[in-house]
Amino acid sequence: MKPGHVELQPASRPGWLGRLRLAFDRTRPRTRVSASATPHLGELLEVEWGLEPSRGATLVAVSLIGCEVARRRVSARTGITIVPERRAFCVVELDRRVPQAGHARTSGEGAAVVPDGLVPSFAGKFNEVEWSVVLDVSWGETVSTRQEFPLTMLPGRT
Amino acid sequence: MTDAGVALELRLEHGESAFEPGARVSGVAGWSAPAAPSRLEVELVWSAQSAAGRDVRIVETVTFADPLAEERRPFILALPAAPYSFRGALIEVSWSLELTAYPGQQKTRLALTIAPGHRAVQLG
Repeated sequence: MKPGHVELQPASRPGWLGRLRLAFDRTRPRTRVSASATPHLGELLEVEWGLEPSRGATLVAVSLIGCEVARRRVSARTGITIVPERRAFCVVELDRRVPQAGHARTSGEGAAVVPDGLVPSFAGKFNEVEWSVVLDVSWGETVSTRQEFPLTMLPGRT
Repeated sequence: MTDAGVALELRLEHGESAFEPGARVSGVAGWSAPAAPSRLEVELVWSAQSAAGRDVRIVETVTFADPLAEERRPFILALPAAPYSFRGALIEVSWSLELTAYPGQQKTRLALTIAPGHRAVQLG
């Protein structure tokens, strides 16, 4: 990991049992992403990523995505369900790589200037602006998986 | 604004209402009431509105203690760096300054824009 980088945690982490299973299941792909610790609007964001095992993966695309998220609470007899509605306002490709056949691990890095004129992260109970590094992995022609790694985008330093 | 006999007024320096994030804002709060209010407060508030609901957060409060029935007092606020005022496809974030007189909670409100370039960001 580069100096000044931090490891990002995936948006959906398994519980302790899931993590235990994952620790012993060497066939299930693991993704790791690290990025600049304090990303700011209008500045360079550097990302390092890894996928292991990557056998069978045909393409890895790494992007920075900024999203509006409105969380609607829907009441029903069984309780309150939260239905999130998302709208991406920024998609910047950071890296795209075709894993080499037979290699157990694929990794890469990418960088891009975060566009200025957008908005930093914020979170309310109902509304949120969310920034994430997203790994889209294609497995053959039809199956693809997506893993999101949220980060806190700070305001521009003007 | 006049409500239940209390007239409230909020004025910012140079009549400005749009600011850079992190700027310092100075203004004057004025009031006139038949009897002295117990206290008055200026609150800096942002709200995020969408079809899902409204989030409201009070970022800073300036309290005027022991007010007279009629008075004008200056205040200075340091604006935060975020969130920016913006309009998106789903969410709109707006800022305001609110002057409230207690115990009746009469209010007057001044809409602010806090964003780079003094203009609300348009997303999408």
